[in-house]
Amino acid sequence: MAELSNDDVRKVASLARLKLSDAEIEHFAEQLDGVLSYVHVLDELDVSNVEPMAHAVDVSNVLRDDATRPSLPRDEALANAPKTDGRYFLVPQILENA
Amino acid sequence: MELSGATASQLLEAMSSGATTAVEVTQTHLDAISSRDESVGAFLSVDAEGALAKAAEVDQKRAAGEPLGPLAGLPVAVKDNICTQGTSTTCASRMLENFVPPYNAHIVERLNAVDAVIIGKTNLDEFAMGSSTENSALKVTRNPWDLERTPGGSSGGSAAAVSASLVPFSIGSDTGGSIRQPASFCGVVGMKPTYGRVSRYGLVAFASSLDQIGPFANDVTGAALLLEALAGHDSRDSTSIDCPVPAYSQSVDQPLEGLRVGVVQEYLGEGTDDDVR
Repeated sequence: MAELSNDDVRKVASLARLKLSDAEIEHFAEQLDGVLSYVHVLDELDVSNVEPMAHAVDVSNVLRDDATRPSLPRDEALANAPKTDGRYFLVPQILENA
Repeated sequence: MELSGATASQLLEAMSSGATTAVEVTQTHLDAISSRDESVGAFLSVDAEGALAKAAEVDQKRAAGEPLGPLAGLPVAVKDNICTQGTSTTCASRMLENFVPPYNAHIVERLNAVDAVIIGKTNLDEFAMGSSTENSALKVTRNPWDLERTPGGSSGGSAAAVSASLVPFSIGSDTGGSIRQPASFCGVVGMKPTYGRVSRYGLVAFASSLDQIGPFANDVTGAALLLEALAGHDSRDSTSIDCPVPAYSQSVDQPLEGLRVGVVQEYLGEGTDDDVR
């Protein structure tokens, strides 16, 4: 049973900024469908009596006060940079006429 | 007693009884590295000066009757994806070849606090991505049992360093087997602690929700002693668990009767060597 339509693959490809031909869409829909069917083997297990577990230890959100504290001195933060102007990291220009 | 190859507890005993000193223990292991690591290739950098200075500090404290940390004077090797302030942390990559961290990882602070002697940084597959320590951009590490074979990885340098008796114990990181697999390949003790048990602050991330720092040692007690030092809460890693650290080293002699061990039989199927099975 095909669970993944060609449109699903088209959408995933567009989200990933991939340009696929119709033939490739067809090809990958079949392959991804195979992957999903393989994982569906797990559906055969009866886990109705198993409590879901996401972590070995009970954990909840970790919050802290939004307070200022000492941070790395600027010269130490810049020490590893190949190029700085003493205040900022300098990186090669990637936009023309910027 | 032969110092190189001795266990952590034997070395602690020898130092506290006065049979040897931290400087002698450190020097012996530095000599072992000089004579044997050329063929093994476990280390990317060795900080002889820093290690001997720390060892001398331990000996002075002991002589003065000052309190000492539980791992005082024990040489330890640290995987080179864990930040050590002032000494290079390359992740075995050319990209970070000249990176000198401006801060210590949490576990490095812990090692300093318990008076361990950090002797050097060990090789890994680049950014911990690999399982043989052959995919380091800087050098290949070999299995001390047979130099033609791989030590496993990605913490292959830390595993080989213990296996070759260059240190009694060492630190690795495990995302998908990177401590357990090289420990097995090299015939040493290694374990991946429960996620959250050891702070990842200062560990160069591979997969943050799976990475965990853990110990290698030449015996179980050594691994337990090291984990006692590494474990514990650190607010700088929000996934670090805030619960007490048990005295692992006190329970290693506890009988295993009554425990059930799960074995995934499929892992030992076709393709697994008989000796391993």
